[in-house]
Amino acid sequence: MNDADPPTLVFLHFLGGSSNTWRYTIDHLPPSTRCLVIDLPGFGAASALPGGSVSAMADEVIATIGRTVRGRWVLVGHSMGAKIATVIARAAEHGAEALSGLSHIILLAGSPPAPEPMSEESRAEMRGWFQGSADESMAQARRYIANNIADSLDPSAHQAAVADILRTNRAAWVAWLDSGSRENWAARIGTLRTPALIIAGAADADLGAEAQRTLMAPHFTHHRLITLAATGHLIPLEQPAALARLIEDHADLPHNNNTIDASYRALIASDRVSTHTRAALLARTLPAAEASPFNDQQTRTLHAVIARVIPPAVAPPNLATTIAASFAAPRGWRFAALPPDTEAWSMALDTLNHRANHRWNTMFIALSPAQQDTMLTELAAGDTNAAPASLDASQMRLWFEDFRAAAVRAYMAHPATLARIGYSGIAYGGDGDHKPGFHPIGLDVVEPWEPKPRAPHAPAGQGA
Amino acid sequence: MNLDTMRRHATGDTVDAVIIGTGAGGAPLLAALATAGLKVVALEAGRNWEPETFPADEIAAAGIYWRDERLSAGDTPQPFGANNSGTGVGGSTLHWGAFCPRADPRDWRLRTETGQGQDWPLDPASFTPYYEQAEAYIGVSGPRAYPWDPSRSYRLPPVARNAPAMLMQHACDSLGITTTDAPAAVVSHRFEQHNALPRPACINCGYCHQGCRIGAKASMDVTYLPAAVHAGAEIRPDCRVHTIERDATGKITAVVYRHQGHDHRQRCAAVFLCAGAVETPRLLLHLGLANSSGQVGRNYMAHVATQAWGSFTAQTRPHKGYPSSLITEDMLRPADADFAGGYLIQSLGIVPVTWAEQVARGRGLWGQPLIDYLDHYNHVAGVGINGECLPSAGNFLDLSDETDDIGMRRPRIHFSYGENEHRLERHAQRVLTNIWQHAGATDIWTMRRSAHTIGTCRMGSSADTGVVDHAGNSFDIPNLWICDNSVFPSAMAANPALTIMALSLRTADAFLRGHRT
Repeated sequence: MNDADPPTLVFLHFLGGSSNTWRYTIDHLPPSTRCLVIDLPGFGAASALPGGSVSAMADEVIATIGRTVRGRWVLVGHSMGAKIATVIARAAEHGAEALSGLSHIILLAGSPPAPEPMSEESRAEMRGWFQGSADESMAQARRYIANNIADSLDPSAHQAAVADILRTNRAAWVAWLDSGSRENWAARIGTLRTPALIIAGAADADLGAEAQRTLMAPHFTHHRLITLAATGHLIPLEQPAALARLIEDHADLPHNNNTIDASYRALIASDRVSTHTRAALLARTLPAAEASPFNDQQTRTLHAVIARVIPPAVAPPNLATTIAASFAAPRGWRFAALPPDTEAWSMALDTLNHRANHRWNTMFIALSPAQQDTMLTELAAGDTNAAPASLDASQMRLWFEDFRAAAVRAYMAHPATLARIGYSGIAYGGDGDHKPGFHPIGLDVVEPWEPKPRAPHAPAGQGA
Repeated sequence: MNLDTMRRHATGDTVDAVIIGTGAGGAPLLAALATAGLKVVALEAGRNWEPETFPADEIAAAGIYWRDERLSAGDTPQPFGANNSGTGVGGSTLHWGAFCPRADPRDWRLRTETGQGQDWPLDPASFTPYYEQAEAYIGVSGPRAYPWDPSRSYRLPPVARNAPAMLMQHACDSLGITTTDAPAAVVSHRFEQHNALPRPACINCGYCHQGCRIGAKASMDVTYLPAAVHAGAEIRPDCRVHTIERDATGKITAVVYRHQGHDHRQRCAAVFLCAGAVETPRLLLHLGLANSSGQVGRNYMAHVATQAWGSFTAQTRPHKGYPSSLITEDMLRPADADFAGGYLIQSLGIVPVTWAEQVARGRGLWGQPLIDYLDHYNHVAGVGINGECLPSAGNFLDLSDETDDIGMRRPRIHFSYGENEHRLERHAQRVLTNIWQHAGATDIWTMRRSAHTIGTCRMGSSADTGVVDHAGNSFDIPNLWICDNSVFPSAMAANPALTIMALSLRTADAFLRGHRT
C-alpha cells in the first residue's frame, strides 16, 4: 500500500437510505475520487433481500470490500451504517485480510455500538409504518424525513429520499428497529485505533452531539467530533457540500488528476534543469509540514476558502498544508492596516465564521459553494459589516487579496501546475558550463522539446 | 562572487571610508575609491552568492530579496520584497530588470517646466559623461541610433526581441508610435572587462529578476565589485550596521555592525550610506542623525508602473528572452497630457508565479475563472510603463512601534497616489489598452502597480531644504555621504538604477576632489 495513492471511499447508508444517499456528497468531491457506494441488504437496489442482523450486514460489506477494494480505503457510515462501520473497523483491526488498507473512518450521526437511544414510543410508531395504502406510506416517508432534518432538503434530494424509503424491504426495516438497533456491541468493539471523524447534527434529537460524545467517541483513541449547526440527522442530504469537505480533509484525499505526468517528470530529471531548480520543484511534491498556527475550526475554514480560490479538481494534493505552512514566510512587506500575518489570518478566518453565523446561522464550511462565493465576493468588494473584535471590511478586503496571492503562488509554483500549463522555463539550462537557453525566440517559436499545455481549455485566446 | 583573496582590514584600523550597501549606489563608489588607492570596506547586510546556484524558480529565488518586514500604508500601499528591494553582495542589482534608459533632460527641471515637482540641484548636461561612463563599464546593449537622443549610441547590439516586443512593435507601428530596442544592461555579446571576469552573451532564459546565473546581466557582483576587490577593497557580507559613532565635533569616527550575532566596530574617516530609499532613512531616523532639515523620510516616491495584459492566438511563451526588450519614450510629454511629466513604455515578458500573483491581486480573480485564465500563460503578453511621481508631503517613511530581530523599529511607508499620478495612470491605461487592441489582443485588462523606492533623503541647495547637497554630502555631518535612490529630489520617468550608478561615480569624484573640505 502506498499512502500517496488515492484511497477508495466506502459508503454505508442510514435506515431507509441507499447508495443514492451519497450522490450529492460525491458531487462535491474531487471528480477523480474512487467511491464504493453500498446498498445494504433490504435497501435500495438490494431491497429484494430481507435484511438481517448487524453482523450479517457487516459480513456482506466485508465480502464486497474484499472483492473490489485494493490499497488504501476509508469507511464512511451514516446512522445505522455507522454501527456497521464500527463492526467492520473492529474486524479490520483484528487483521481481517480482506480489510487491510483501512486508513480512516468517518461516522455521521452514528448509531453507537451500544443499543441506540430511541424512545419506545417512536420505535413503536415507526414499526407500524408502511403497511397501509400507498398514500399512507407516502405520508409516513415524508414524516420520517421531516422528523430527522433541521430545515428543508433540496427538492430533488427530498424526492429521491422518499423513493428510497418506499422501496425499502419492510422485513429489513423491522429487523433494524426490533433487533439491530438494540444489539449491544460495545464490549466487542472496545477501543479502535483507526483515526475517526465523528460528525453530529446540532438539531439531531437522539443521536446528536451529546450521544456521539458519550456513546461513540469513547470507542476511538484518535477522534475529532464536529457538530454541524442547523443540521438534523440526515447529514448527507442536508449538508452534502460541508460533508464533502470534511471527508476530503479527514481522508486526506489526493487529487490524482494533478499528478505530474511522466513526460514532465522526465523534463525535470533532464540535464536541461539545474540541480537547484530540480530540488526546489521536487520538494513541492512531498507532503508539507503539518506546522500550522490555526485551531481546528480555523483550519477547516482555511481549507474551505482554499477550495473556493483553487478548485479541488485542480489543486495539488498538498496545497492546503503548503499554504498553511508558508503564508507567514517573510516576504518583505505587509499591509500596515493588517496585524502580523499569523494574527491577521486567524482573525480573518474567525471573522468569516462570525459572518456566516450572523447571516446563515451556520459555519462557513457548512455553507453551499454559492453562499461561500457570495461571501467572498462581498469581501473582495470591501462590502461586509464589521463584527466586534474582528477585522473590518477594508481589512478583510486586504486580507483576501493576500490570501489569493498566497494560494496562487503555492498553486502556480507546483510542478503539476507547471506541467498543466506547459511551462518550459525551468529547462533553460542545467549544471554544465553550456546552458542552451532559448534560441531563437519570438511569436509562435516553440522548440520541439518544449512541453505542451495539457489543461483542457488552453489555449483560448483570439486575435492577432 | 569570489572574495577568497581580497585584502582585509583590521576593525581597529581607521579606514578611509566605510560604504554601507553594495548595490548600484555603493559598488561604483567602492571601485572608484579603491582604484584611487584608498582603504575602503563595504558592509553588506546580505550574504555573498554564487550565481551558478540561482534557480530557475521564483519561490526558491527569494533569498535575493530584502524580506525583513516593512509596513505598507496609504491609499496605494506599495509592495516590497521581490518587487523592488534586494539583499546580498550586489544589492538590488541581483534582481533588477537591467532596463536602463537615461533620465530625460526635461525631467531634471520639472518644477521649472510645470511649476510642480522638484528641480535637481545639478546640471543634466554635466551629468551625461557619468551616464556614458557607467554604460560603457557595465555593458549596455541597445540600438545604434536612439530615436529620442541623437547624441546617444549603444556599443553592444540589442538583445533579441521576444514575443511581447514583437507584438508591441507591430501595434506601435500601426499607431505611429516610435519604438526601438530597449537599452538593457545585459550583454548581447561576450563582454571582456578590466579586472573582472569576461561575461558571456545573454541566452534568453528570462530569469533576470531571479538572479542572472551566467553573469550576462550587469549586477554589481560581476562588474564594479570584482574591480573594487581587485583594487584592494574589502567586502564584508552578512554585516548589518545599526550604530554610527561620532566625536565631540560631530564627525563620524566608526560604525558598529552585527555579524553572526556579535557586534563589531569599524573605525573610519568617512561613511557612505548606500542602503536604498527605505533602509537609509530608517537608519538615520533610528539614530536621529543628519536631519536638521527635517527632510529625512519625507517625500517618498514610487514610479507609476501600470501594466496591461492580453491574450493572443499565437504562443508568446512570455518567460523567454530579456523581458523588456522594446521601449518607447514617445509618452514622456504626451500632447494630450493633463498631468506633469510623463512615462516610458516597455514590452513585458514575465515568469509564471509573478504573473499569477499579479492576476490574483490585481485582476481579483479566484476559483475556476482564475484557473482558466492561468491556463493561458503561454499565450499572454504585457506592456507597461514607468512614470513620473511627484514628491508629496503626504508620502513619507516613519518608524513603527514594531521592532526587528536586532531591535530596530520597522519602517512604515505611507504612499498614496496624488491627482497627478491618477491622471498619468488613466492616460497610460488608455494608451496601453489601445496598443494591445492594435496588437490583436483579446481579454485585455490593466493593473495598478507602482515600482521602485525613491526619495526620503533628498538632495537640495541648502541645509534648510535638503539632507545632502548635489554631491551627496550631508549638510549636517561633514564626513557622511549618501548615495542611492533616497537622494532623488524627484522621481523622473526613467528606471533609477543607471542614474544611481552615475550619481555614485559623481559622488566618488567629488569626494576624491576634496569636496567641501
